[in-house]
Amino acid sequence: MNKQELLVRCAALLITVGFPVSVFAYQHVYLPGTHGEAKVIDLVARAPEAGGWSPEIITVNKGDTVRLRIIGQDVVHGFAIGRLGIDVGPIIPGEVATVEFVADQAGRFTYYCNVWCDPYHYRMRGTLEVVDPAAPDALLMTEERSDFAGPDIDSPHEAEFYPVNPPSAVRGQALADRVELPSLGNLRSQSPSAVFQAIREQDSAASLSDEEVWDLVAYLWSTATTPERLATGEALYARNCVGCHGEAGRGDGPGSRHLEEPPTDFTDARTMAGGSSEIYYAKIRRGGMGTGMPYWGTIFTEEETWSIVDYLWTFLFGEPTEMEGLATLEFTKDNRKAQVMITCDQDKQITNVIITTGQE
Amino acid sequence: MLNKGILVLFVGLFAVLLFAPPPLHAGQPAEHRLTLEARRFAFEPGVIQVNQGDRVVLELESVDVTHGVYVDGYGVEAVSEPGHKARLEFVADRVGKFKYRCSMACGSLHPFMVGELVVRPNLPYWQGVALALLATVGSVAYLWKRSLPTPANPGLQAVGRRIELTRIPLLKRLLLWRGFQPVLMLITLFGFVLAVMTGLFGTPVGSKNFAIIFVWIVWWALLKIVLVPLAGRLWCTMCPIPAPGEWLQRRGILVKRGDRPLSLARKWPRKLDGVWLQNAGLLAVTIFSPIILTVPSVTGMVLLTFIVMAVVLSLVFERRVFCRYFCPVGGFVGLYSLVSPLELRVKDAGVCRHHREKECYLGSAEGYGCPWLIKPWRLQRNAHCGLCTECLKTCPKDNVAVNLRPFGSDLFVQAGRGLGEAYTALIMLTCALLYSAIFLGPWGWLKDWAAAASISGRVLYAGAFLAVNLIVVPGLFGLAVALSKGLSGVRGVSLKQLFINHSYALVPMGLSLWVAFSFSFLFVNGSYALSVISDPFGWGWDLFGTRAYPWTPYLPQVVPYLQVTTLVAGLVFSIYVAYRIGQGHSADEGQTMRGLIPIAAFLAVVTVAFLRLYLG
Repeated sequence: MNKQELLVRCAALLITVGFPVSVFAYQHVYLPGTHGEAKVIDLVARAPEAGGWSPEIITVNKGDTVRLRIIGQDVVHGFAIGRLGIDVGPIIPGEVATVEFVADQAGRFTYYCNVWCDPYHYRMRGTLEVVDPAAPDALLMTEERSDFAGPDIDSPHEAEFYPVNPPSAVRGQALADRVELPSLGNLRSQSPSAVFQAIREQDSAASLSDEEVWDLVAYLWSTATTPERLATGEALYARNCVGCHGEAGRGDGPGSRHLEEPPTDFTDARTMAGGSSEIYYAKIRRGGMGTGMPYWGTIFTEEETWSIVDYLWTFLFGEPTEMEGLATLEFTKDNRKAQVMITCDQDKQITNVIITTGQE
Repeated sequence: MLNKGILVLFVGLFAVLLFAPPPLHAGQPAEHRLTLEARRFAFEPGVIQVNQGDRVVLELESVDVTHGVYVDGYGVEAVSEPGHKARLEFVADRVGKFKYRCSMACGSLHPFMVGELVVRPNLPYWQGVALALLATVGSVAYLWKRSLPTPANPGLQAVGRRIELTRIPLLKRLLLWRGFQPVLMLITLFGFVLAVMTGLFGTPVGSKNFAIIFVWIVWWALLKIVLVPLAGRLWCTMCPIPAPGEWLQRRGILVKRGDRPLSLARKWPRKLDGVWLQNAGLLAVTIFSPIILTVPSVTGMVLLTFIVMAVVLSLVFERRVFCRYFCPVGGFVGLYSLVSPLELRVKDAGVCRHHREKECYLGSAEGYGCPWLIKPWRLQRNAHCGLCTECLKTCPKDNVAVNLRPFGSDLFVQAGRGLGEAYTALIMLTCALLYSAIFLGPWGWLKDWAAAASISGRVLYAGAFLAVNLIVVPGLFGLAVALSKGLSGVRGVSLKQLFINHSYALVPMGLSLWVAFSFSFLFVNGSYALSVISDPFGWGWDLFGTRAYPWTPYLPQVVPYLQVTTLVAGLVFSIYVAYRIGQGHSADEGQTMRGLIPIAAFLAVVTVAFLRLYLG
């Protein structure tokens, strides 16, 4: 055999055998050795109808540096790990998104897709197990559904009283000094309907119209939250809830097309005013039995859940944008106090100016 | 005198149509606010019509998975996750038809998820139609006035002058080198192995997979736009698919060995001679193209099947039976290579007549007998010559040449014509039409149908696809041929023979249709190649630092103009070919011209149909 023939035969063998072998050796033998300390895990994302997450359970040791390579294989997905504050954002199909973190907290965590991807989008969840090698049996069970035995969340809670027009917390604040508010206890366990009724029955509120009483209720609800919490709630709602409940809270998200029972319409005052924060909190954490509502107890922290509940009330009591740019100026002179409160909307248009004066 | 008058008339009409100022749009610019619903794999509405200067405000609302929208020519883009609407605003200041396409991978048919924005007055379309009609009438009138002399025997006579390329010493030495073909094959084999590997083991996302991008965009466009029109079967010279089988069969790659081939060396049955197997393979591939073109693993399987088939056939039969009788690509490349200006021919038939050894067919110490089962001394047309250059090496008389020649020379050769090739021409024409409607059109129901998951849906689609390919379009063409026969009064030639003869007029047009079709995806999706070359498997590699290169449509607004030019050029060429073919079976010039009219009309209708799909 001459030299040329030998050369091309070697080339042919290299191309058909050597090349494939070296590609797979590089990918599966060489590359894993270059990761250093980090524990590298490939996580494949497919729509639930095509298999969902693969693997569905990831086990690491406490203290491990974990590098997840999230590989989208069909449509855009999201990736977030509940209670760890990890949210990678959209996973573009065919691309590899990488997230690295130190698993410094033992326990079970839920990772999940937070971009609507499929009629069964909410089933796209997996479990990250962080085992403490010192106490391998003590893998904490995260909250179970059965933990939410508190309020009765499954019976209908249609309101007896509900606002016809959107109330305004800003107007309500101006009225607050004029009315002697009843002692209400923990607002979170009260429904707006019940609070409306309690104020309505006050003698000092006799001169107020129903609308004004609703403004007062809205004000009370606004005092129970903070702008930061509303912002957190809004962001979590946009990431996790719009799929079914819709951007405007009307229960008309893309997921609603696949549900027999339509998702709750948060803009429906009659429904909203009959429930309490505690009920909504429990529904979010446990999920709605028999409806399409998934459980979020293993994903949101308690504080995050309360933020979402606070945000839900803005569908009844006014858009959070009205509260944007809220400025309060206080002047004090000779024991007299003046407070100027200015609110504006997103477009920097002033929506309300309220001046209150009083003795210090 | 009359000639000049006609010329002036046409040039004048042409100039008025092309350069006349657009009619001023009456009325105030309107604002169009609409919700653009996106679902796999269509937009609703699929067509948006506005007037030039209007403001367009689109609210993109994805209802199943994340989609984007990108408007060709305007370069604006928005992405909507389900549940989050996205807004897009622009002033429609350019006239014409612009595709708006999904810009976020959303599943297998994502590259074909398009809608159409028509900004009126749609001048490019009307100018294109006017140009096509003028070209038709102009060509017919020109041929009528000029009355080109009928060649005595258009088959054997050189239709034009040849330039012998093998006179270039360096090229000749290269072609005589036994390593010429194997080295090309090794290079493409590397790409082929990579395509099979990435297809089978890479990401299932087509736009990020080497197999899909390099086979169906890069290779396909290169084949259709460059290789076939300019060099005919030159791809067959370097195609890697027959290589392993041939090397096994020959027990070597470069060496020419005298011993028996590693093959049962059966003869291919005479009954199965012809291109019908290839036609069937072509139809099978095209029916499943919505899957083959978009799913990497299927592409990988198809490529693997081809190469395994080629090896098995090499071990059972003599020579290259796979290439000659099975390869569905070979079928239409062979037909279109009739147009190409490159040919391999004997220099002097007289030399062959007196030379009995026939090394070119039987082989010699210098090389193998024609692997393509051709007797080179009888070679008159490119259809089955794979340009492997073996006969150049074996001919002891140095009587084989590679020539440059006028485009389309082989279309006038009568020997070798057949109903099989006629159907190849019709199938290719029909597939270009169907693909343009299914893949490039705005009709979601067609795409749903083409990608149907259910058995009944698939069977129905396949049935309709076959019916259009085998009955509807051939029927319409047959009607044109029958009209041509009736009008011309040609005697002594059967309708079937006329059908076959005239089908070769569809060859330049078919090729131009495929070039036009290929432009549409090469410019829009060519940029995928840059990111895929760095990460062929979609495993997160970055070999050349271009992995993150984003999807970037290049000059999508130029594509319609390229398409019009290509289509009209194909139309004029085809009319000329129809005329020349008509001369072959007509008694006089009057018969030729009368017979030409229905064929030219058919060609014009096809061109306008394509203009309607691409620009209208």
